[in-house]
Amino acid sequence: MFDKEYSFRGSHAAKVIKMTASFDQKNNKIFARNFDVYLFAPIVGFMYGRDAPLDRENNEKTDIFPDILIREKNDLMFNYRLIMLLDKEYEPDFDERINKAFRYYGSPKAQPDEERYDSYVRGGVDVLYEKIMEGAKNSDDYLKNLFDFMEEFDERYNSNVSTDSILNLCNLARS
Amino acid sequence: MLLRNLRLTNFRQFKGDQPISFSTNPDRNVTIIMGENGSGKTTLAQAFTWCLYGDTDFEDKSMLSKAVAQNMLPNEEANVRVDLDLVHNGMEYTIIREQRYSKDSSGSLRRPSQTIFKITYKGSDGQREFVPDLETDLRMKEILPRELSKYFFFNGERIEKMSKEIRRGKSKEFAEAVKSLLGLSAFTAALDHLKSRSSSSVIRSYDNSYNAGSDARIAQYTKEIDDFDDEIEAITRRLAEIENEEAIAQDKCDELEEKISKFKDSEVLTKERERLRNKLNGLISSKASSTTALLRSFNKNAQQYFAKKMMKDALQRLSEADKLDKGIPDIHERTIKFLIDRGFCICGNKIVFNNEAYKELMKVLDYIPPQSLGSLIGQFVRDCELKSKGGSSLFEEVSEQYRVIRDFETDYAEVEKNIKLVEQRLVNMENVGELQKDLINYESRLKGLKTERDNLNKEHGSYENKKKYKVADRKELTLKDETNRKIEVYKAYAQYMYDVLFDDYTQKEAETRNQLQETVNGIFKHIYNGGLSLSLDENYNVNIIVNDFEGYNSDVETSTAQRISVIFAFIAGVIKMARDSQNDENEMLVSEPYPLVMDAPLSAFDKTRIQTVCDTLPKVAEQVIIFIKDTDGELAETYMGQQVGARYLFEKKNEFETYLVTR
Amino acid sequence: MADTETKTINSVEIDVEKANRMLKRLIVKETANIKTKRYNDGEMAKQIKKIIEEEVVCY
Repeated sequence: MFDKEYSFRGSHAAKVIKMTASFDQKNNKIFARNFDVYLFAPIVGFMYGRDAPLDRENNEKTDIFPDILIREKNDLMFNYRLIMLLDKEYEPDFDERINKAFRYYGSPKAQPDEERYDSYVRGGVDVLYEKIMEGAKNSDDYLKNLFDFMEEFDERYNSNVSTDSILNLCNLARS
Repeated sequence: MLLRNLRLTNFRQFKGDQPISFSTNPDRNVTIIMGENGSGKTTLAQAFTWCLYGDTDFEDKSMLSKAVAQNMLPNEEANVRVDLDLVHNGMEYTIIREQRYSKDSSGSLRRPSQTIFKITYKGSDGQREFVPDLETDLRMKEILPRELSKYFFFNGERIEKMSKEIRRGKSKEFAEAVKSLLGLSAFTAALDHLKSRSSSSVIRSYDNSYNAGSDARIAQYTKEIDDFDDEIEAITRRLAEIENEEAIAQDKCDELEEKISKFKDSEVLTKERERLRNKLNGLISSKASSTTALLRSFNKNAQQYFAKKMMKDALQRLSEADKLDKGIPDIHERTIKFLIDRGFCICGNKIVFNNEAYKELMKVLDYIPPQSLGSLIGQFVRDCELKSKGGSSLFEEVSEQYRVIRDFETDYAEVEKNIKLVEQRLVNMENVGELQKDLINYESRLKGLKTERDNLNKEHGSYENKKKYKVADRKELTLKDETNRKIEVYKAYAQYMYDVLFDDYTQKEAETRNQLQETVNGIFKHIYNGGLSLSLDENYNVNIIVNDFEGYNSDVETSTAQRISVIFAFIAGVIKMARDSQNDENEMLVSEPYPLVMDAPLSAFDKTRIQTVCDTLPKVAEQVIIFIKDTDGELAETYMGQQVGARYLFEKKNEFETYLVTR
Repeated sequence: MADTETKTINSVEIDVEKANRMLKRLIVKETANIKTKRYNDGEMAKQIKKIIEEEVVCY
C-alpha cells in the first residue's frame, strides 16, 4: 500500500474526476489533483462514519501514480495510523489497534486493515461529493458548499479542539 | 367661454359627421377622451385651432379625410368642416370653418379653396344671426385672442417652446392678452382712445384742431412736435426690439453656460467613471484571487485540519496507555550491525549481503531500538505536532477569503449601479471649446445691445425735452386765441382723465400682477411640492426660484415635468383669476371663465404628481377637456372620477379612420 | 363755487368733480363697447370729445 499505483473506480472515479475538474474559466478546481482527494477522503470518511465498497459497476477509473504516493507516503501513513488507532468498531482492543497502526502495515496480516482503510477513502469521496458538488450550478455554488461544509465541520468538532490542547497531549504522550 | 359641442366633418381621420358634446355641468366639468397614440388625440386638439383660427401644426396641411379623398371621383367635391358651439359672455355662438376640396378631371386633388369662416350667435329674440363677415376676425379676437388660445388649447408636445415663451418676455402681446383676460380692457381702451399715436385719439385730434389763423407758428410747432413724436416712437420701437434680442441672447448665454458647467462636470464624471471601473476590475480580480487562495489553503491543509479531532483522541489514548514494545530484550541495532560486519550469526549461520540470514536480521531491526514501536509512536506524535500547527488557521483563512467572495456580488452590483448613474449623466455632454466660442459671441452681442440701449435712452430723453419746450411754446401762442384756449381746456380735461386712469390702471395692474403671482405660486406649490416658487415681472415673465435645495430632488423628475408644472400653474392661475374676478363687485372689471383643453400632458409626471395635477385642474378651470392615453386615462379617472361629466373613446378603425364613441 | 375742488393741468384749471363725472361715463361707455364692439376707435374718440366739450360748458 502507498507504494504502487492507486485507482479510484466506478462511481468514485466519476466523482473524483468531477471534483478535480475546473469549475470556472480561471481553471479553479476544488481539489487540485487526485492525490489531494486521496489524502483527504479517508479522514472525512472516518469522521462521517462512512465506508463504501469498491464500485465496479462500470469501467470508469482514475489513477494516482506511484511516484507521488511514495513521495507523500508519510502523510498517507499518518492517516492510516490515525484511523487504525481510532477505529474501535473495527477493532475494540486498543493494543491490537496499536499493532495495526504501527506493526502490521505492509505484512499479509494488514490485508483486511488496508481494505478497511480503502473503504473509508471511498466513503469519504461519497461524502465530499454530496457536500460540495451536489446541487451546485456555478462556481459560486461550489465555493459556498465548500465553505458550508467547512463551517459545519468546524462547529461540530474543531471548535472544541484547540491546537494547544493537541500540543499538550503531544508532550504528555512522549513522557 | 365654455365649449359645448364640436362637430367634425371629414376632418382628417374623422370621416363623415362626428359630433362630441363636452360637459358643461359645473360640478362635473371634466370631459375625458381616451385613445392610444396615433388614434387622433392630437388631431382633435388641432380641430379646435383650425376651427377658431384656420391653422394647425400639421405638416400635411390637407384637412380632408384620406378615406373620403380616396373615394372621390374626378370632378367631385367634398367639404371639410368643423363647427364649435360655445358660450361667451352669455352669448351662444357657433364658430364654423369650412374648406372645399375638389378633384380635377384626372382624379387628383386640386389645391383646396380658402377656408370660409363664419360666426353665428343667438340673438335676443332667439333667432340665429350671422356676425357680419368683416367683423368675424374681430369678434373671434374678443372671444379668445389667438395668442392666448394655445394656453387653453394645451398641446403637450409644444411644452418646451411654450415654457420658453412664458419665461422670456417675448410677448408683450401675451401680457396684453392676459390683461384683457383679467378684465382691464376697458381701462386700456379708454387710455388708448384718450391718448395714443393714432391721429384720431382725443388729445392728438385736439392738437390738430388748433386755429392756426391766429399765429402761423402754431402750425409750425405742431408739425415739429409731431416729428419729435415720430422720433420718440421709433426709438421706443427699437428699444422694445432690443429688449427682445437681449432676452434671446441672454437665453442663449444661460443655455451655453449651463452646458459648459455640465461639461466641467463631465471631466469629473469621466474620472469618477474611470475610478469606478477600476474598482470593478479590482473586485473581479480580488474575487478571483480569493477563490484561488481559498482553494490553495484548502488543498494544502484540509487533511491536517479535518484530522485534528482524530489526533486529539489518538494522542489521548496513547498517553493513557504506556505501550512501548522493546522488541528482543537488550538487543540493539548496534548488535545486529556487529553481527553483519562479523559475517556470521550467533547461531553460526553465514551472513552475506542479501542472503536469508541477512534479510532476517534486517527485519529484526524494525523491532529493536531505535526503530522499535516506541520510536514509531514518537514519530507519530511528532507528526501530530507538525500537522496540528499546519492546519490550525485553515478555517480562519478560508472564512476570510470566502467573505470576499460572498460580498463580491453586492459590492459589484453597487459599483455597477454607480457607473450607470455616472454614464447617464455623461450622455449629451458636448465639446466645451465650441460652446465657449458661442458663449463669447453671445456675450459681446449682449454688450453691444446694452450700449445701443443706453444711447437710445439718452436720445429719447433729449427728444422728450425738446418736445416739452415746443409744447410750452405752442400753448403760449394758443392761449391768446379764444377757440384755441377752449381746446386747451378740453385737452386739459382729457389729460386729467388720462392721468387718473393711468394711475388707477397702473395700480390695478400691479395689484392684479401680484395677485396673479400669488395665485400661480399657490398652484405651483401645490403641484410641485415645495422647493420651487415662481415670480412674475411686469411683462408677466415667469421666473422659477429655487427656495430650498434640500427639498428639491432633481433625479426624481425630468425638468420637462418642471416646465409643464410652470405652465400648468400659470394657466391655472390665469383661469382662476379670470373666474374669481367675474364675482368681483367691481363692475369695471370685465371677465370670462375659460376652459382648459389639454392634449396628453400627464405622461411626463410621476404618478403622485398626476394626482395633484388632476386634483388641481378641475378646481381652477370652469371646464376641463382632456385627450389622454389609455394608461394615463385610468389614472386621471381614478383621481378625477367625481368630476368627470362625459367620456369618449377614440375607436381607430385603420390608419385613416377613427370614430368617436361614448363610453 | 367756493367748495369746488380744482386742479391745474398744463396751466389750465379744471373742475375735478366734472372730470370724475366724465371719467365714470367714459368707463361705462368703454365697458359697453368692449361687449358690443359697436364703435371703432375713431368713433369712440369722437364720442369722448363730445362728452368733454359738453361737460366743460355745463354748469
